[in-house]
Amino acid sequence: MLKKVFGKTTILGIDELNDFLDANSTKTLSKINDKVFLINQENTRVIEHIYHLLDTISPYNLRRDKHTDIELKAIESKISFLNQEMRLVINILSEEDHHVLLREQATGFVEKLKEFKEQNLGVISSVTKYFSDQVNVLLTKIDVLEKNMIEVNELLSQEIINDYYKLHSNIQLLSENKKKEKENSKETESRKADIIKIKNKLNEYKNKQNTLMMTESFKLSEKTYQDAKNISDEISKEKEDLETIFKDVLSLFKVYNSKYDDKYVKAYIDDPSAALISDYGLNITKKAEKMLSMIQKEKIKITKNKEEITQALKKISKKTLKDIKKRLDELTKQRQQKEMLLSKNKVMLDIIELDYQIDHLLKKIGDIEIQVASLIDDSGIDYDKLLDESLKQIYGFTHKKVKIKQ
Amino acid sequence: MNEAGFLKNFGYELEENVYRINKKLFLLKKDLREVVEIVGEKPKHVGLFLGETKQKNFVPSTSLLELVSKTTSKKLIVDDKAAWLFVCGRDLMHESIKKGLEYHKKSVVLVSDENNNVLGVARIVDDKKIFANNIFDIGDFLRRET
Repeated sequence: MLKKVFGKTTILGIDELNDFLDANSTKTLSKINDKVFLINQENTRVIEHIYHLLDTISPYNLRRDKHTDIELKAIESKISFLNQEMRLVINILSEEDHHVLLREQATGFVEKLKEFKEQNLGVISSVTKYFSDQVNVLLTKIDVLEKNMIEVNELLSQEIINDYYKLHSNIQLLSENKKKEKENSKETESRKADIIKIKNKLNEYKNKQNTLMMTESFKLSEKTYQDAKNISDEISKEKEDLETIFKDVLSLFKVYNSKYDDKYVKAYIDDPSAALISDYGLNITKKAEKMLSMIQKEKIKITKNKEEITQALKKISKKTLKDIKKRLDELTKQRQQKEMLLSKNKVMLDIIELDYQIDHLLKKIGDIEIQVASLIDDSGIDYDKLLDESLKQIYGFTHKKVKIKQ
Repeated sequence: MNEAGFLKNFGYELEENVYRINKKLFLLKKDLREVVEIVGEKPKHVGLFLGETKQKNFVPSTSLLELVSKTTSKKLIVDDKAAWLFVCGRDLMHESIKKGLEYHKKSVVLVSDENNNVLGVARIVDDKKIFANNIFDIGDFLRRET
């Protein structure tokens, strides 16, 4: 493990925290609960004894003169089987498992032992006939192991151990997050550099625009320019209102059109404001009425948001759409008049073109910032907070101060 | 680009029904051509005006652009604001293009808005600032009037 020790503080990388805790884990466990430590020690001794017993319960130790060949072969195979099965169960404990996995190990052992006892009663009883002393001791020893592991399981279920497990999983999370961040950092840096470049360009355009706005040509048409802008905002607002009306029925329209493939409905699915402009007869209102009637007659079944959808359908009335269309037509006409006036002023055109470019750049910056945000943290965790908490917990468990390497 | 080059670019050829008066081109129906021949004098305008050659370059009429637009797929589709700037004589920027960014440099293409209204003709330059230069736009006639 890489580590630099400065005084009492250990400086580590995020990815080294797990190793650090692992390296201190045995000690930590014994501090958390000496009992677990003692049980582990006892288990080691018991396991050694069991292996010794298993070596003793061997076909070679049978008194061959007292049995027929058939009896010998039968018992030999049972002994081998018992020996093999017993070792499989014991091996669960003798594997060098990490202490964090001790609880799983304990549960696994108890379950496996129960299974062993249930399935091998006959074999045990047969072997007992030939090695009664050894088998009885063996069973006692196994019972000790079982009792110990049940106790370990209970001890490890204590709150403090749960905190310890949680800390481990949090460090794992931090480490994975850091790794991902490293992988993403190159891309993030490149995107951030893009943002800086775009911002420079943005400033350049804004400066150009400000300079142009100082000219006489601009001042002469400034009011027309502002009017055109305000009208554009109003048009956007009208379009938004229209889109809100159709948003609630979008899924219904899609379902309807999957069967009827209606050109008017399709147009409104694609772009409500563009559809309204070319829908001279307001044919969509008839379609909405038809859909409403189908819902009432349960020819179309709606399971979710039925009330909202029917209300939205009712809003698609000739009056509402006529009003919106009228306002949109009027506003478009007004804007065209203003634009016509502006189109004759070269400076004004330059300013509008810069407006357009500035809008695009702002949108571009917004898009990249969203991408960067998702690259920096798409795990949904508060990294700094979790790290801070984890370091405090590490100190609590190991009594060692850890600082994160920058 | 001359008239033949312009038309060829969009898959057309000059045919018999195209009538030339000085530097202007007109599309004539058969019966109208017969009338012109009977009258015997060269008219100033006849049939559908297709465009004229100005300083060695062919300037198409809006009618010709509408005709070409029905059959050609060589089109740039631009957003609303860019459409207005284009008909004010401005060039097209990359961000204005909704469809057609795949065209190669020097291609001559029609320019349409999102409602498929023809706005003019542009030549792809695809440089840092500009995607296509405005060769001709339908606002040209209005600008000339002022």
